[in-house]
Amino acid sequence: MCVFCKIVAGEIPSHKVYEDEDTLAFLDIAPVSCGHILVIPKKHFVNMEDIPEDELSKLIKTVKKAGKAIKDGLAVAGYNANVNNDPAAGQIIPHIHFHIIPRTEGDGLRLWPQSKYKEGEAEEALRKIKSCIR
Amino acid sequence: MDCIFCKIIAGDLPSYKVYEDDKVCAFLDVLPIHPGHTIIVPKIHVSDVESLDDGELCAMVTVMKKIGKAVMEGLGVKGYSILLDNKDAANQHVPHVHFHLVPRKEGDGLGRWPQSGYSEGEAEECLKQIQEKL
Repeated sequence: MCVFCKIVAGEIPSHKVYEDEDTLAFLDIAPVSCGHILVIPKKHFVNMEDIPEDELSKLIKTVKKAGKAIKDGLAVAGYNANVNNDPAAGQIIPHIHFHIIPRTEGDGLRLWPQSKYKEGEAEEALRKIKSCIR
Repeated sequence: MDCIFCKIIAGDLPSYKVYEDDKVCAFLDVLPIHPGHTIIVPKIHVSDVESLDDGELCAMVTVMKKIGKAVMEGLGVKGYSILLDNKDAANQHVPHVHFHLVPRKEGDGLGRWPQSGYSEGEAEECLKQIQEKL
């Protein structure tokens, strides 16, 4: 059983922030900043491809609820929410989860660097992606 | 209409549109973290996730799932990250709510923010403050 399923089942302790029938939000024990929350579906889905749309909808609604509670409760100015989908993206636990990370002005956390497309590269990326949209 | 994303949605500014339907638009970020980096926006102008109604939010995640699959198949990448920057403190540069979908590869050098631990009682205090606002 995966570590997140064990947390859902109560076999591993956690600081539960919120739960309902389908989703659970709990504090990450290795937070980037105080109040860093993980939001998961209670059912075991590995990633975005695995989770059905209705379950994903329930998950994102809990993200929205938890994000607002972080801002209001911790009086922080904002937050970043992210999903790392698959090991290539740094997903360590194979149970889909959103991170919500509280942010304050000047906290020193930087976003990933951005660059520019070379000539024709954007058109090529666009063509490839669009050809696979179902 | 001052919002750059509203102008893109309206066709007043050119863009590389990946997908659109009646609620959601997705287009390539012209300053990509990696080629294929796509921005997903609601067609309605709201500044943050809290202002977005659940129906629009769920429509967005459904599109993210669809585009994520197309990005992986079309570009031959094995993963992607989804990012939401909520407010200036979290580096939200355009005040029209948007998700980033960033193609990822093993060893691409995109690091994680440093994580730490809670001092005694700190997690419990954080938890209480968040739960009060749920």
